[in-house]
Amino acid sequence: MNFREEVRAFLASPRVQDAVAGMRALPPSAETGRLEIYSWLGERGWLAPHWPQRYGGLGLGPAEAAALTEEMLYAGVPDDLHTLSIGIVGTFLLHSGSDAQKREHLPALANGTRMATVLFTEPSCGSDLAALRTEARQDGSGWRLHGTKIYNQKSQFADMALCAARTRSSGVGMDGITLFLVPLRSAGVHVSVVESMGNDRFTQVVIDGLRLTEDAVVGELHDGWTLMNSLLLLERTGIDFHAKARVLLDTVIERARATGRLSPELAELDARLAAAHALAWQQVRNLAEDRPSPGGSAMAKWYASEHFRPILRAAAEIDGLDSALTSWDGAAPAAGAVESAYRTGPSLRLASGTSEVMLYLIATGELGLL
Amino acid sequence: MTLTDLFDDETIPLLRRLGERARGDGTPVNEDARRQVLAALAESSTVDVLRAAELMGAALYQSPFLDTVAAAEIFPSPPGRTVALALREKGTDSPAAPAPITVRDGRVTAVRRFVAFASDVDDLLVVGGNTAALVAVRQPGVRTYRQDDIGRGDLHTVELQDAAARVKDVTAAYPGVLARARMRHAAYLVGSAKAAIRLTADHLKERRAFGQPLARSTALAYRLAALYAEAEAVRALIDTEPNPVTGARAVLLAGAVARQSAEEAVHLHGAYGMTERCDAQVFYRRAAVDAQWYGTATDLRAELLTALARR
Repeated sequence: MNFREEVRAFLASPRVQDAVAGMRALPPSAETGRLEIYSWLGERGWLAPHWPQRYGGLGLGPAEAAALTEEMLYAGVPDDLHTLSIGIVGTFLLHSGSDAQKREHLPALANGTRMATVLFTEPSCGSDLAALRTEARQDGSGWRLHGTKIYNQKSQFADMALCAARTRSSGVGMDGITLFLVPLRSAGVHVSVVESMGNDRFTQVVIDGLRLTEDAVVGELHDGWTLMNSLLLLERTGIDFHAKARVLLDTVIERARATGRLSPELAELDARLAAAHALAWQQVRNLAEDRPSPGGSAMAKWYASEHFRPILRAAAEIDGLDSALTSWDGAAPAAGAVESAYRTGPSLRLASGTSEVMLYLIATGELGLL
Repeated sequence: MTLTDLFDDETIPLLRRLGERARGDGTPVNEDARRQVLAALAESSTVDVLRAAELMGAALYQSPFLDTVAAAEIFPSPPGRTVALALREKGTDSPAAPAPITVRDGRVTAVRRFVAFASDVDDLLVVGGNTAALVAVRQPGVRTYRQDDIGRGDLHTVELQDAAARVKDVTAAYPGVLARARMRHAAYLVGSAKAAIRLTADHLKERRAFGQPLARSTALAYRLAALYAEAEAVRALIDTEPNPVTGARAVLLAGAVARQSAEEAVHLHGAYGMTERCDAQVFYRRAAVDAQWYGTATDLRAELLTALARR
């Protein structure tokens, strides 16, 4: 069996399927966090299969990491905390962390005993991170952080976070941003939840004079902007967005079959997701060949995430008002999965760079506009 | 000559109008160039045909080349011999279900319309029902009439009356041949879509309005960026394994993005885009024909729906 087949077989095992069934039976507003399934995957080195073995991975490549993400999502295992912990924070540490940071954190992240999240967005800046205000002041040989981060996800379940803070003010917004590893369960860090329309809530993290040593700096001092722009690209393949869209569309197609309402529009959406899948895998191949494409990854993310709205509209045509019933209601089609997806849907065009940021990257990078 | 030499910035303006022919039975605009380009293309046919199709689409280059490649899968031809596909009796026919033809004693009787370059090629590949017939154009029993279309293509109605032919049952082969032909045509459409977008992006960089280049407008730039991403997604799909489903998917989505890119090209060029001086209108004209060359969107969605219902 190849890696994908092994993962698929494991995810189809009774204990994983029982855990997935348990999550599906949760009430409409329940949020999942640290999953036992992550630990089971971590025990096998599968959470980060593309990392070197000395850091808890299997020494495989981006294709296996993408296959893992796809199989998790196809099997109904939420991947958000896994993506934040391994795909983003872990990737930053692997590429730009110090040797000590790698030794300290990567094995724990890879086996799922430690989880990490991201603190970039602030109340006054989202897509425009050059305007961030969280401040890190020099304090002896270390730093003291003050600021508020919001609309981040899963911080209430995580142990640490990658936090962007301003370490100098030169008048140029992009300059003087530094990335820090912040312990989330620490005096001076206050995590609270912000209720959201979706099942997953946002969090607000207030950092009030947290002192960090110089070892907490990830990458070069003042160079966080460059890091954020170059490394976020490594996670943005569109694989996860496509897989989420595919799971939703397949649910809708099943409903259409069951109700005799298969339509040409669904057939076209099916074709479009096949194109989204092909484009996402093109980005994975680019990563495997060590030539990531900023424009290509923006196109892959944009194209996949733009399909949630038409799929949800199609779902409403198939089940009518029944599509609005929540999982709390026994008559809800697909056990409320469509209703839940409708509430989560807007986040997919916002997360990992909004649709407009993706279009900006395509317009500037591929067409020389703006 | 390499493909990129053949389709470079200097040759493209010529290639974009090379398929044109004066109304009626007139001679092509540049008959010698037509022959030379096709010969050069045939010589470089060992190259990736999908890549060649994309370059042809960017140049809006019309020729029997892709039809010849498709026909050779059923009736291998000697080098240099050209073939036109004859798949439709009516404009609403889908190439996935060609109208029947009558075959008697190796002779074919049929009417086919929208046959490109019928008067230039050596043979016609006529498909009807489960039968394919290779018919030499220059023989008694074959009459061609020029059609006149918005794309200024070289389209013909062909009447076959007991025309001598090589005949084959293609029940098993045709779906695969059609799928691969659709993938190549989809590559052509993606090439044309991306070229229309680039043409328009270049215009937006030069054209100033309200005190700045139009290229600075996010409203306009994002529309082109979205179309470009659509085209790239279809391009990625074309690189997947061809089969009847992927062929129909690719040509459906490629047709849509080619048409929309051409529409935006004309609109964003303003009134200039509607003039003969601007190639935006050439993309617009061609899209009306090319986008539905292998089936209307309705036909293609219906095909895909049938496949989906069986999945």
